[in-house]
Amino acid sequence: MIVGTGPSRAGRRPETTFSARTLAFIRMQPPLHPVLTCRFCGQVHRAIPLAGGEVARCVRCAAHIASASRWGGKHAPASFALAGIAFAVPAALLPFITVEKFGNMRTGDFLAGVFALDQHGMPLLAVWVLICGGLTPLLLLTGLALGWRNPASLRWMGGAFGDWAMPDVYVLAVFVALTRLGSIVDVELNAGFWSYTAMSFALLLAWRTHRLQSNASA
Amino acid sequence: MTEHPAPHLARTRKIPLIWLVPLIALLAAAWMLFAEYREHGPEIVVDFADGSGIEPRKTSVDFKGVSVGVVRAVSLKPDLSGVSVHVRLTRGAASLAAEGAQFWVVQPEISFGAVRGLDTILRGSRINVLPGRGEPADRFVGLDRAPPPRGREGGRSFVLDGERLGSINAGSPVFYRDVKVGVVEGTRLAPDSASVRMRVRIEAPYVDLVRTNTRFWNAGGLDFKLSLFGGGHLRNTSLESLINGGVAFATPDTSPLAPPASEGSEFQLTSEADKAWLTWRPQISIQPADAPVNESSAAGVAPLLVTPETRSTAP
Amino acid sequence: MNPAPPSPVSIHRPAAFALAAAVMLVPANVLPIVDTRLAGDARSDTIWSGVVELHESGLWPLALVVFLASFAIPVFKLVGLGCLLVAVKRRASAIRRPRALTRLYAVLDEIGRWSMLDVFLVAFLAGVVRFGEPAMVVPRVGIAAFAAAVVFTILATRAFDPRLLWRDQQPAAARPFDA
Repeated sequence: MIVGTGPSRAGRRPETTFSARTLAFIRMQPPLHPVLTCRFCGQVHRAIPLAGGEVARCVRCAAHIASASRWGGKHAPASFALAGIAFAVPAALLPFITVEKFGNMRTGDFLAGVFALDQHGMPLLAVWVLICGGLTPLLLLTGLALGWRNPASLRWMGGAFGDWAMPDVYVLAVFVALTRLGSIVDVELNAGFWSYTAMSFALLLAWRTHRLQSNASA
Repeated sequence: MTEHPAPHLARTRKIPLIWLVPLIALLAAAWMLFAEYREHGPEIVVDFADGSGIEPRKTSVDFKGVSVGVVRAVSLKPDLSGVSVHVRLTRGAASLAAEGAQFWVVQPEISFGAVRGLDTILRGSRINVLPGRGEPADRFVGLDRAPPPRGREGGRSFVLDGERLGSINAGSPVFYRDVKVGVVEGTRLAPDSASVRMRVRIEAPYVDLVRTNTRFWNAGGLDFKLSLFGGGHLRNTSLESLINGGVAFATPDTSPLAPPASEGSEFQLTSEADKAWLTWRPQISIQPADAPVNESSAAGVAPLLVTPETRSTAP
Repeated sequence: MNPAPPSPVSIHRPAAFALAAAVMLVPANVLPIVDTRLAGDARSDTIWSGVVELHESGLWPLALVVFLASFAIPVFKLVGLGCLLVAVKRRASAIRRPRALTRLYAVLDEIGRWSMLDVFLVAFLAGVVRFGEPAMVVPRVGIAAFAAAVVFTILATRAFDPRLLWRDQQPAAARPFDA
């Protein structure tokens, strides 16, 4: 099946008429020289070295395709990722907040929320929250910490799981919950939450520095 | 160099399988909505003279201590004579909404001797309902206060007429030989204001204890007599009556016994017992005390004795 | 060369996921997402009533955040995806403003995850507020429907191939000063 441009336009723009099969074939061929492909419009650019703080934009769609971090350093993603893994341990074990009501103390942490969903008959949602808030960030951190030797598999991992890591959203949710609870009960933030927030930031930085580098070197 | 064969060409599906996803989503969404509305019962309107404490989507309608619905909206009646409370009942409780159903607002009540509706301090007010037995209906008039207990078949109410109320109030116990057999349901001034009247209800197994010639007296409060020779004499029926007031009665052991008093009979309430009354020991058979004993405990006294059977079944 | 792989699936998949998300948004907004019992305050909230309650209790910045995450973003994502799909589907003429549409797609791709805010909020509150009768937060089926809707919008954005927007465009050629 021909998709793309119809036969009527074939004469006008022969070079844009592809069948999916042709494309699959073309895509299998490795590029002969380093190129920078825009992930939004597919425009191919010559890869040029970027100085620190420079941003490369697509010539066609103006999307941000590469930039060189001021932090630089080939090992920046891995070091950020290791920091994130270090924070992930207390984030998983320590309470996020302590709530007091009627002389009763309760601590809440990430896993307590997951178990509460399960207890109220929503096991799937519990698993989903665990995946988005805990497992995927950890997976990405591990990959970033170990995978700088193998950029291709790292890129695949980012494409497959990057959308599902949402620790930053979870941090915002805890802040909203905190403000909501604060008017009713006595709330205190604990180390677990700060560790989780730090983990979230470390993932953000590791991912960002990695994406910049992998784009720049693709 | 070998010639490669051309691949077979076939048409793809007209509608890609991916469209099963929204279809499944549609089924799931429909099921969720259906499951929710399956739980919904009818919506009824209850008119109250006063709407204090009733809040939309918070105030619950309870029957036998279980929520059977929730208030959806509260609106002022057009003639400003009260409020209309819209209640969404649960499906299982739909049959409550029949003619004769009684609704009243329960608010926390703390008097010197009685604490009622304590849970409403924490949970907010709630509406209690007693089911009706008539035709299904969707509009009701709420009561100003809790109706007298009913549904305890065989209990009997009497009216006492006394000089003054003393420490008696609604909820005060009624004793026979210091055993709690009933409760004071309500008190008010007599129409001519020359006396006070109170309605007492005697629980089912004990109704025959009240005969036409039964004497009632005020058993509440401290009765402290200081006599010159006998020293101090402190008499009191029970700790509960000390705080909450109470009524006691005795029946003369005439032979034959006077006939049992009928529902609504009137008696005089004296301020204290005649000494002779306390010596009366008529033999009146009461119904076996298996189930009904708990009925009396429902009036506020927890059973002190646990029979071996109940103990063995306790977890 | 233009390496866009346009295949029929590339339109059907995002469209199907977007439709599934739209369908799931109905129970997500109609059904209660959470029951709260806090010190005499027993209530059952939908997404909308939660926003209104936050606003009425004076926490309007919070109300705005929750409104954006739970209401504006899912709707904006669906409308945006609809625009992109219509633009790609219309074959009669070349896509007119591919740059703007590409930017729209980049925005949709970035904001989708923030819709999960309400889901995490309910999950966290349910884990913390477990005081038994006086204070309880119980998640209800609406939040599961909402989570499903968010997942479907993310899947739809992932499935959409922005290179379709550039199908009719010439790849930019190297200009003299690039060399």
